[in-house]
Amino acid sequence: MSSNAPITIAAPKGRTLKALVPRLRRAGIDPAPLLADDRTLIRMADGGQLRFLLLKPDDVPTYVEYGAADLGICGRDVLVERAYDLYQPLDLGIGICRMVVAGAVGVKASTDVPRVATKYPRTAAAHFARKGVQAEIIYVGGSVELAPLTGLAELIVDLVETGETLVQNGLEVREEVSKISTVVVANRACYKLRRERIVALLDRLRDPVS
Amino acid sequence: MRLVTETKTTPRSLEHPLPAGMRDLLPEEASNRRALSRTVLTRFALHGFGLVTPPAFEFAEVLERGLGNLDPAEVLRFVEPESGEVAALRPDVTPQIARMIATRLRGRPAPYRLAYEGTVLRRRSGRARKHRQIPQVGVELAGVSGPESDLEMLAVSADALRATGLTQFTIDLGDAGIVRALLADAAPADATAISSALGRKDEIEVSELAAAAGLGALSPVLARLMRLHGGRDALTAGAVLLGETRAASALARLTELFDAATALGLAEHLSVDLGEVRGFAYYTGPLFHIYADGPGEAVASGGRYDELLARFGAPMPAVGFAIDLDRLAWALRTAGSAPAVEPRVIFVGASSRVHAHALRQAGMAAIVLGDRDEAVAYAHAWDFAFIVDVDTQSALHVPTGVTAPLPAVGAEADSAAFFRRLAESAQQTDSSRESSREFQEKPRGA
Repeated sequence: MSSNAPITIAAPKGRTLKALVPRLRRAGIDPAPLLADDRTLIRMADGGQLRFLLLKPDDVPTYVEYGAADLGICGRDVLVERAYDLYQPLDLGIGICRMVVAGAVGVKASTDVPRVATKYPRTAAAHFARKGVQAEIIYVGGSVELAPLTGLAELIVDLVETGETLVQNGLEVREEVSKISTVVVANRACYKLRRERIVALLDRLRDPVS
Repeated sequence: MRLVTETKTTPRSLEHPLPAGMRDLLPEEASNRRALSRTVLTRFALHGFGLVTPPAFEFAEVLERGLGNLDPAEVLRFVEPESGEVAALRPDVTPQIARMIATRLRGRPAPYRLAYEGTVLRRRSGRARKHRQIPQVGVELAGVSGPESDLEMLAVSADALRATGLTQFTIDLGDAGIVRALLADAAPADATAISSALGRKDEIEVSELAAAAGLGALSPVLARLMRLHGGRDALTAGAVLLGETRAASALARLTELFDAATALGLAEHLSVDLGEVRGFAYYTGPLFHIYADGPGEAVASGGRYDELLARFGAPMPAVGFAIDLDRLAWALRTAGSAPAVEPRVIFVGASSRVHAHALRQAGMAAIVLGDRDEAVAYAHAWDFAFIVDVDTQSALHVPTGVTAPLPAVGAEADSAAFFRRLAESAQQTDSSRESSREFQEKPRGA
């Protein structure tokens, strides 16, 4: 079943791709084609066995869910937020950060129904619903830290890696929603149809320590 | 030679919009779907399944009793004006069949072998590619338990798919009983959360959830389970892993089914996944998904749900499966298996009506048009394969431009066969001249 075609991997451009490089090297996959400074969006690697698609991180699961890519590399934040129907057979243990609720230092929420600004409206809504707190969720596309400083919202739900950005903007972590890391996702049909090659690749990528 | 008439088309679809997720099928696609469902239903009938046609909507309270693993949020409901009760557009046909068996068919002896064709309707969830309307064909076999009926489902589904021309497909077997047995002591909420993570093969989350639920001892077994997929060797490895657990009997049942399906000649299609738990709350025993290249989702799925009929007051074991016709069409397209299209004929010239009538009597579509130019334009626009000029006694095969003389008058019993033969030979001649790809992918709107 198209057994000789390369395995197609949807990979995020930017930071995550760089973090992936040591793992690829250890798996015996030369990352040079991925890092080449040109504008092609399809990069062949591993002697033509792998075909990487370079995408915006948020688009990775979409390509995999449709089967346009067999595998993808993306953060748990996106998977949780959009509830993709995908296998997540390997946690790469990179891109580790936390999804947290944060607010201005020393400022208590003033209303019964706090306003929460976030890039992750479903994740935030589910978190407050679980706690039995009614919250008004406000979607913003970025610079979420600005919301509590300007009165747009009292709280934010956002990804935090070191917490430095929060500190610089006078914000503090109130609680943790979940731990986030980068995982390999697989299309359900592709995983079953090309099982042997996909499992072999995952075994190569698996951290021998973990 | 390729006759192409330019037709200017302005997209007008947005002038009269459809609700999100609803769509029309135009002649080419609609006839393709109809041909597929006819082929599948014919195979179902040959296996002894009687066709039933349940209604498009029912009272929500009745329908939702048998919803299974479908999220209630996916059901489209409305208040039925006659009764003032809440009705639901069917999101799944299986509960309707269960209701029929429990009510109108109750007097008849089991087993019940029933087939259906119909569109199910679901609210679009946030995920990609979830249509609101999903055309399905399926079967239900109720009132018989045991491995023979599980095997029958595999045999019937493989037979039906092969009949449509699909040769490369994988039947991925699992058994809901394995995870059910392992999680029997877990609180329902924990079992649901763990099985959902198992369904995503998320090893880290499974072990975290298991630890949080006080099932830490189970973690290594569950982690191993998620990687036990493949061929017969996965079952052998499973026997080692699960031999001393409560899941041993479910695994034995699955192994027996795998071996029986192999003996039946399905070996090339079979795979097994011991950690597959999709539909965990619904299925009670063996379950399967059928995959083929193309759609990226299962073409068909089914399994055993022995608890469903009891919800309608007629407790009895049952198995079934459904084929998603849209995904099947996609898989066939990917496999390069073009649907067989019966040629259609346009007659021009004197006594065209007589000829057209004769051809229809022979079972082939025919129409009459005023003149040749009109016929050429119409044939291109509406996919008619032949234009027959009765005056010159010649037949033009429109896609290739090949012309052939008509056979002698009076051989009308063979006239349909003549056009079929001519279409075939014209295409063979043509494809030797041009690339076959160009031929298959006829430009739209040309």
